[in-house]
Amino acid sequence: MVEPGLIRAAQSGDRDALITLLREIETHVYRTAYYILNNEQDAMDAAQEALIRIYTKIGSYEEKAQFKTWIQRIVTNICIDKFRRSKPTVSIDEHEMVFREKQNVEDEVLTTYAVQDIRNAIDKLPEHHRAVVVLRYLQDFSYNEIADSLDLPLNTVKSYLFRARQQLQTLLHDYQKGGVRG
Amino acid sequence: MTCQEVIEYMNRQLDDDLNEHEYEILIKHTRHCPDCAAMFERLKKLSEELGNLPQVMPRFSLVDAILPKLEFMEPIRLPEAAAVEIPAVNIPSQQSNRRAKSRHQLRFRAISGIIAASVAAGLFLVSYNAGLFSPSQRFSDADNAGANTATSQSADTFMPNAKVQPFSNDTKGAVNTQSVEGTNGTEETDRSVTKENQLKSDETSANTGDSSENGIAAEEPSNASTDDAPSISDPNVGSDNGSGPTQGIASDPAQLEAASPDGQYIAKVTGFVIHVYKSGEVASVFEARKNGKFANLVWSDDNKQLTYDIQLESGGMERYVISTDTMTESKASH
Repeated sequence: MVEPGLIRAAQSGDRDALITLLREIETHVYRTAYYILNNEQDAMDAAQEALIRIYTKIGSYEEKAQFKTWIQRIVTNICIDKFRRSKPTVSIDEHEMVFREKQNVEDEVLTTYAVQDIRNAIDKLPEHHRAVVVLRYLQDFSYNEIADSLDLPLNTVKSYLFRARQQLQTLLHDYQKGGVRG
Repeated sequence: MTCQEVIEYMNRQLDDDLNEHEYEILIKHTRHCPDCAAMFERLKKLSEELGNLPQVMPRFSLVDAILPKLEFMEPIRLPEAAAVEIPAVNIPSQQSNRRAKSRHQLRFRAISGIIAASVAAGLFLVSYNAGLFSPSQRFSDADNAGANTATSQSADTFMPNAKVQPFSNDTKGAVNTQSVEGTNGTEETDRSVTKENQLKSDETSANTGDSSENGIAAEEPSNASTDDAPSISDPNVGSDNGSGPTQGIASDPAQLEAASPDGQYIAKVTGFVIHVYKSGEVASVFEARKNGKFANLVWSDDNKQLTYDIQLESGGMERYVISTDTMTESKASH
């Protein structure tokens, strides 16, 4: 994603390199914030804050970590900490019944979910589950990369992702049936 | 294998995490379990939809939007890249014996934060000057250099002089660790003639110009700076310095900056205002406006206090101490 040479130049005090670097990553930073926060203005604010933090902290980045996970850690932390809203999320219960709503499976499979429905469903997930889904699908991160970014154990990442998927498909299924929307 | 276990396989399949054997188990199961087959279809569809979410872009360039803010911030650089700008400082030989011991210890502490190249440059300068000038002139050198230790080049330029004399009451107290390096040389060259003040200043600015373009010159009258020097054993040393106000090295009033030893805080002077920023935060945590020139920003070793001087137009000097615990400022006696 970002040239190692550019990162090193930015770290050694080349301000132009640092600005160039920020330009290269701003979309990635914004995209994560957008899907975690589900709100454009909040995403703009969080992404800007993340870029400023990256600007000031560039010296603390160590090459043993991937740069892309380092920046995603910064932006997800900001999203989770600073923009934590007291809004209800669905409970992610491990023992939740998985196989409800069996009927009409075929109809459902043929239909496409509305993007807005998907975003709203993601928004209902607990914040770490949401972050895992966003990194997996919007940043194409592997389990390990997600674990590095969120500072979570690998198994936790998997369990969050798997449970989030089941929760999402349940929520989307409900939306599709004209149930709870928004 | 239970359905719940198979669902984990489904999920891992969506993430390309199954080996061939595991994939066969999954397929075998779904072939005979309609519930799981349906679930697998739904999860596959969900995964596909998630993968197709719009790759949104910000409406305008976020970097452009924050550029004005970034102007006032300094990236914290790599430790080894964070060069301490080393001013040309000589030290009065009268002080050297008395302080030799502590210098010896301080040297090691200070050096750890100094980039080798800067040391070399500083050494050159020191040894160069060491051969030419009398002790009194070195005083004025110290005045200038003390003010120049803080440059805006690096956010975590740490202040070597803080290691030497955190609360000294004059600019010579700010003689920094670099002077330690030059001590031996200066002791042997006491009786040189005095005419080269101008030359020395030129030399100094020539050598420091690159790195300290934002440095503020200490243009206080030398008397003010020497009379109340507490660390000088011989009070007459100060009055030897009859050269009047020292030559400004860099009179650009722009910026002066000092990071606390632990990097937590950055103090920054712009014009007549000092700001203290906490690392990583955009807004300053402390701000004060003063009617004079800022100089000698010095952090205490425990990062709790920032001391700085204000050089008043009248020629007087005021000293202030900012406490980071309370983020309050008080005027210090001097």
